[in-house]
Amino acid sequence: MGFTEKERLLAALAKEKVDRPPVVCPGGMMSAATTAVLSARADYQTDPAAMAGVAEAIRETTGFENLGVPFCMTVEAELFGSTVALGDAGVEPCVTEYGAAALADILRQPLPDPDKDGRSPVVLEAIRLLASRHKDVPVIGNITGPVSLATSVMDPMPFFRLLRKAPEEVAAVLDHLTAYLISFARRQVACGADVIAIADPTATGEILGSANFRRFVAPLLQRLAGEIRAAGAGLIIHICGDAKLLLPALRQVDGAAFSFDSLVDMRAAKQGLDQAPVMGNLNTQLLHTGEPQRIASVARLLLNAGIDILSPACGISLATPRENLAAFTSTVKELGSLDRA
Amino acid sequence: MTNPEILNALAGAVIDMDEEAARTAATAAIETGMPAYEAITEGLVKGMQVVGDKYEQQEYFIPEVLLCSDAMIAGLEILQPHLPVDHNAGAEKVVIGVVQGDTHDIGKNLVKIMLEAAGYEVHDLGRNVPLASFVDKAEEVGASIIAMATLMTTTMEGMRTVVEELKSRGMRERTTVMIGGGPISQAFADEIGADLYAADANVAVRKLKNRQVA
Repeated sequence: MGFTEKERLLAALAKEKVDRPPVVCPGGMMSAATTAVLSARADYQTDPAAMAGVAEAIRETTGFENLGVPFCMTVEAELFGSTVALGDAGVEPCVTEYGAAALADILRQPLPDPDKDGRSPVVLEAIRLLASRHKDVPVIGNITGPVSLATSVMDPMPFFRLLRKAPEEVAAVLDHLTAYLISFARRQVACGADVIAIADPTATGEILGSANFRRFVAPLLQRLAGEIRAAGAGLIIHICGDAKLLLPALRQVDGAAFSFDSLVDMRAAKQGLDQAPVMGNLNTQLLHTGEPQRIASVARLLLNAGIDILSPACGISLATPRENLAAFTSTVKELGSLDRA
Repeated sequence: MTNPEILNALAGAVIDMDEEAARTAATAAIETGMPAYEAITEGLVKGMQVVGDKYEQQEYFIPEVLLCSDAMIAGLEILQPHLPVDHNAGAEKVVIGVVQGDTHDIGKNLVKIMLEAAGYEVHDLGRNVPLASFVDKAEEVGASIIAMATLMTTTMEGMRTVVEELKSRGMRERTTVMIGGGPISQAFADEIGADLYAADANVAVRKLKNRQVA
């Protein structure tokens, strides 16, 4: 019996039996909106139809089995006052000026309205367009994780000091930001997102340490997971860096699939997470500079490692060739069910 | 306090992230007539070395290292005016920055802190640094070391450009190029002809100290 791309991803997220693992690139921090896809296109950060068009072009040219928007991690930071350079086909969007000088500045700001403020309505409308045009392809909405958002709204250096100097105020700020992230995620689901992906590249074990992660980050991920599940969507949480030390804290987050960087041993991670679905983790430098044949053989190794959902290991370079991404996805599609049998 | 007690207090204040204790111990050092240079190298810097080890052993993380560095700076501010004018005349000069296209500077800032604690004169170009600026600055200040960081695979190729630029200006032989950051590896350093790859801030200092200077 055949799975549609949507059925396959949702089944993999729900730990149900599938014919083979899906191969996806969710969007957000892990977006395949490469220079090859973006050149000759315009307004894809600000116009819903153009944004949806890029998401469709990514799937058509690379073979990833999902549609994902947006293509950056700056939508939320802009809402909290940061200045963002939207970039172009060769440069990713990035924060150029922080919106807040102190924690209190963030707490003072009223929560933005996802339907009205900044580029959130663009993302929501793009999701609506994609969901209406593709019944059988999963639409993934992306949000920025709380710590990465906080450190995009204020300078990370004072923020990290405040983790120790003013832990309660930091927790209040992360709570405040998470309240917005929940409302944004819920609206994405209401507009047709089948899955929400959260990436928090600043909240790594190497940067924060596992004690801070357990104290400040894990409770927020639990809250986000509960709300997103209640809204009826699947959930992917991407953790950057060597996540080994964080596995006990992540085990407390129910109902999510966890995506890891290429240096993580996926078998060990899955075991450490009580068999929660794991996603990953094709080295992004290999995707950028490797030969398609080598990418195909590494993809085959990943298939044999029992990974539930295949994907790049982290954010991919804008200069990644289309052929390399296609070599990855076609290998999974051709060999996924064979290797499993 | 005896001199060993003062030195211990200086190191301990850094390790304990205690700015106030660092100021108190630094003031005590001046009052007892201890040379400021000794208080810095045998007190504050010894403490920062312990911090570096704790960071490498994953006992301390970024928040802790930043606060330890604040305590070290609090002590330095009191001790530095008492240093002889030429105390740092022989220090090796480092130009450091995050390469163009990347604004992630957490790792770079840590390397800068540890290099300064180790006695290097650091010229920080900040983040999103135009590639030619690394070589320009090294030439201007007479730096023998260029240290570059990036977190992004998109921008790592820029490091190769800097190495090439050093060659074309005839500065390659006298400049040590050190690179680091998330996607960077020893293999990449070898590929682009960089001299050193450092996995973290503590390793960066160790590799620079241990290298054979031609």
